[in-house]
Amino acid sequence: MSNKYKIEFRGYSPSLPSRRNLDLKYSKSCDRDKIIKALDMDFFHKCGYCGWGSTAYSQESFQIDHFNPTIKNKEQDSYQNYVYACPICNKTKKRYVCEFDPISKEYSSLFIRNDYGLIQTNKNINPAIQKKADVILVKIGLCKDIHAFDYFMMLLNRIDENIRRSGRSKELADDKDLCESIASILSKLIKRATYYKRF
Amino acid sequence: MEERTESFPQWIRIKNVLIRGGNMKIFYIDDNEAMAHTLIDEFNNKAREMKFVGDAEFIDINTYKDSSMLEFLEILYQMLSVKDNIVILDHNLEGFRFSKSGPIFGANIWKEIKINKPFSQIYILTSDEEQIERYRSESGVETIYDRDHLDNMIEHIFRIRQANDLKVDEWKNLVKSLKNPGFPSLTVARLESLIDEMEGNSLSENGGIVDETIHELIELAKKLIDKYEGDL
Repeated sequence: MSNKYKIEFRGYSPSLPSRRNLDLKYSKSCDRDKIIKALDMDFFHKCGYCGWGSTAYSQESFQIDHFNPTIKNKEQDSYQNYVYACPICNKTKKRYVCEFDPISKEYSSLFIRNDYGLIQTNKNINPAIQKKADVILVKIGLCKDIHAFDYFMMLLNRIDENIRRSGRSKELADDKDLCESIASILSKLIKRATYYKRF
Repeated sequence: MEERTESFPQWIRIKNVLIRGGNMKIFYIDDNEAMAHTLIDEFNNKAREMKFVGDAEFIDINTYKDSSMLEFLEILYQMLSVKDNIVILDHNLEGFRFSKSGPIFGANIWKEIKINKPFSQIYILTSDEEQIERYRSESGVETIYDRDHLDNMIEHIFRIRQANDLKVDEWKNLVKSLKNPGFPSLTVARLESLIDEMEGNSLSENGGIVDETIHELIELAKKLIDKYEGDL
């Protein structure tokens, strides 16, 4: 299966997220807000696992996921072990240890989006890695349909922005209107689904 | 009906459960309570997506355990009306609080079901009279409803269902109209409003009115994304 929309499955393009070398610790309650803000910046306002935009939630804010919750305290309570996670992924993942760090190229290559925006295992990678990806897909909940809506909303917003930047807004007014309208309706659906925790 | 809504706050929650046909797939009855069977028959005839299992044994639950978002209504006690059963059962909607095993169902089995969470909600009423009394005292329900009340309740539920069907049709037509150049902004406002009106339906993979209506919107979005694929 080809990666129809070409861009990275979480929308991380051109750069993948990275963590700065910050001395912030989750165990210090006074650091938590700083960690969230730093992660929001380092992960480009997206969930590290699925790419969900951090502005799409109506009630629940994004969370600090401990990438590996099983390692010893000092390493676990380190900024290098934190992932910016949407409530869907964080709640589904729980204490599961994902083998691939979301900031790595390997993680980025594990999945693609299909024609309907759903996250699926990339069939063009090593079969052994594919098997691991299949497990991660379920364990983190990336297989849930709701991820498609946010992805489509992001693509539509990009098209809208590209049209605006190209200076062809008048010429392409119908498409621009349609982009904005569908994105607006999808946003409403997403906020509603997340409000009722239907995912 | 409005008066009863005010009199019984539970009514709103009962109604919301009952009109969510997409989620309520199984009613389970294992006694010969005639009114319960009649009620279920009416639901079965009118709600096209509802699955009906009657006179099943407890062991059959395992057959349906793996169905996602399964809701389960078990009516065992013959002395109360169905509506009373529903009202009392509704008392448990926000928490599964079965603490005493009946003569047939072992507590361990229920415990296992609860841990595995195969059901979105579990409703239990046993033939254990002490337990019935406990439910009754906790819920404060004393009124016995007759058949007329049940008829009214069912009619009300299906009026809402029919209204939802009309909203689905309206949604689909409005989405189609988005394809036309220069569609009015009111169209989008109405579509967003319809999402609110289609209350009680989920975006989950299990289905629901919004699920039924999202496909057209996604297809429309896909065409637009395909057109500008090179720019992404």
